[in-house]
Amino acid sequence: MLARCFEGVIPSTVTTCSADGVPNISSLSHVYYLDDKHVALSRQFFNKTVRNLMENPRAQVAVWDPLTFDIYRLHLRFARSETSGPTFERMASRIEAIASHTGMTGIFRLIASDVFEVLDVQKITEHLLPEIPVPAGDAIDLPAAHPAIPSDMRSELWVLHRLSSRMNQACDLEKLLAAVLDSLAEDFGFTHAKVLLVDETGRRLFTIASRGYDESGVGSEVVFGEGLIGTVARDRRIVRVGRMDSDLRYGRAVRAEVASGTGAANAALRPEIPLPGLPDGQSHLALPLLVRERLVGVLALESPNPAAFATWHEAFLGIVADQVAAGIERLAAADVEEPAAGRPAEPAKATRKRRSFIFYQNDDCVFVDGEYLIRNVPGRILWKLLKAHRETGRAEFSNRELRLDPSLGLPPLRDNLESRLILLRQRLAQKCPDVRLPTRGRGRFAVETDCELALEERATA
Amino acid sequence: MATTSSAAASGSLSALPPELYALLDGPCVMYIATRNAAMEPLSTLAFGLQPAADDRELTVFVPAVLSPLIVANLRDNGQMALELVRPSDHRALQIKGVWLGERRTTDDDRAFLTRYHSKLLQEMNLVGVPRSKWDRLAWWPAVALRMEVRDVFVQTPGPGAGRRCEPGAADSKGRS
Repeated sequence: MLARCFEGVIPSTVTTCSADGVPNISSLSHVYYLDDKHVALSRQFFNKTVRNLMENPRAQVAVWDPLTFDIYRLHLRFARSETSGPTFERMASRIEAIASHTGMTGIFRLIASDVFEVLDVQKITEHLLPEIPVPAGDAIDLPAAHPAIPSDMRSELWVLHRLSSRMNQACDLEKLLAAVLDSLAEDFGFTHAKVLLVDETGRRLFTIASRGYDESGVGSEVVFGEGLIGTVARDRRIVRVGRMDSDLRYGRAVRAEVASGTGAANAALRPEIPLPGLPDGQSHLALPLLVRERLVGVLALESPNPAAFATWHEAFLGIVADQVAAGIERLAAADVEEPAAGRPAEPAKATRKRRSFIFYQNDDCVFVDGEYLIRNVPGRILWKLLKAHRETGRAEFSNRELRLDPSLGLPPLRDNLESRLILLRQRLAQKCPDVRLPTRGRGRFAVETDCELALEERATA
Repeated sequence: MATTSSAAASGSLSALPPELYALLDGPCVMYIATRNAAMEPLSTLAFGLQPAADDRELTVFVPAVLSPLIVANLRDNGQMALELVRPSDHRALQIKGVWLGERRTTDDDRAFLTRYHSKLLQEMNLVGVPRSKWDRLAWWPAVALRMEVRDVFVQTPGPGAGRRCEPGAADSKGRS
């Protein structure tokens, strides 16, 4: 229960005392639970608290329960400062994610994680009057499991078993990703989630599947190191934020202080990076998808509720993330062409509609009817398919022939061709449903059109 | 009350820059920090603050139910610090000083704290704390603690956090 108090709904404080007996109190950005006997405080600036601890190791931290508003006093003894290692790096990733969103990369950063031994914990409830019935819409709710799932089936192992079964039944990447996102929504109640994969540059992620958003966001890109998701990709560590607006307010307070100065830090300020996904997202949990230390993507979840993700979700969803990463790898390796099923390609239907595609050679970008559609490898693939379809009337293609075409620029190993085709299909479904790329068995697919194709190549926009 | 160990000169709230002086009027989340004879620090929630006319003293209110340990520490050594944080922008200050004693609370105090409570409800609502939660705060009856101001500090997170506000450095009071 105490873990949720570390999410900072109301600013936590640390109180220390100098050798000559003068107390000092300061707000904290984060209190981190390490184990039953230890917590760590993030230190972004040198301050009086640190000087006091050097003289007198006793400290007291006050944290608020975000649901009950009970206060917990943690009586502590300073143990050590860490400037490297797992605890430091994990705390640093979270702070750097906030720094990135508030345009303070390299300015607002963790100097040390100060580790304390917990001597005693006091729960304070005297400051609260008896509970008043909560009006509808005024409550802070923790996410509940899907009501259709019987309560005795909600245990962690059953959920993992169901998710694993769904993933094992997936015969291609699209179905696997759908299984994961459906299970997160139905079994966990996490209805806003997305999967991003590493693109061919190895420095960017692109969204390949999502659930719960008005706009799917499929195809949207995140540069490594930028924002919460980019930080997870760069550092390959889980980042969990329980109260995003509070963290951003804290970051913006620092930014305002830096901006009021004239030093080098002021000049280094950058524009804020908008949050991805929900405009009112409060809780965020992003997990790296790793296969043998190699990053294949990021699983990102969010919720409009504060403190929606608890510490145990990191461990549990870490297992899910490992399975997803392994599943992506398995299906990429199993992407072997099946013989053609003998089914004739769908004849193109007569239509009066005309779709105008333009391919910009300088950045491999495809527009349809003046609107951006897709770029890079998926853009080159689409252009090859459309040209072949219009010029020769071909309607069936294989993954193998795409892999053998050097003009597409697919890497020789781990080309993620299947993920690029999924992205392409989804972008077409959003922007140009008159052109489709249905599968025709493993390793084969068709080009179907319900429109006339007008194709034009230009050197630059 | 035991004699205090500090022989520091008296300070003044007027050393605060205007944007921080405004925090004295609130609404802010407020904490009082003390320590016991064994040098163990202790903090608790405070609720409402009134500067004296000369800005060298103030009265801070602590919910009576939270006051016993704090008052015991103050009776022991008199050392105290206050932190004021405005939740909507994390602007913050710290005041250090010594305890001058308690005074009896009045109907005017209660009216003042009623207004403060109302303003703080709105502020907390801005940061997503439901009114139904913050309304449960048992802010009355309160203990009125008088404090002599010794030092004031910028506490807003950032490179300037912890900077002492020197007398005469502030342009003007931010309070009408």
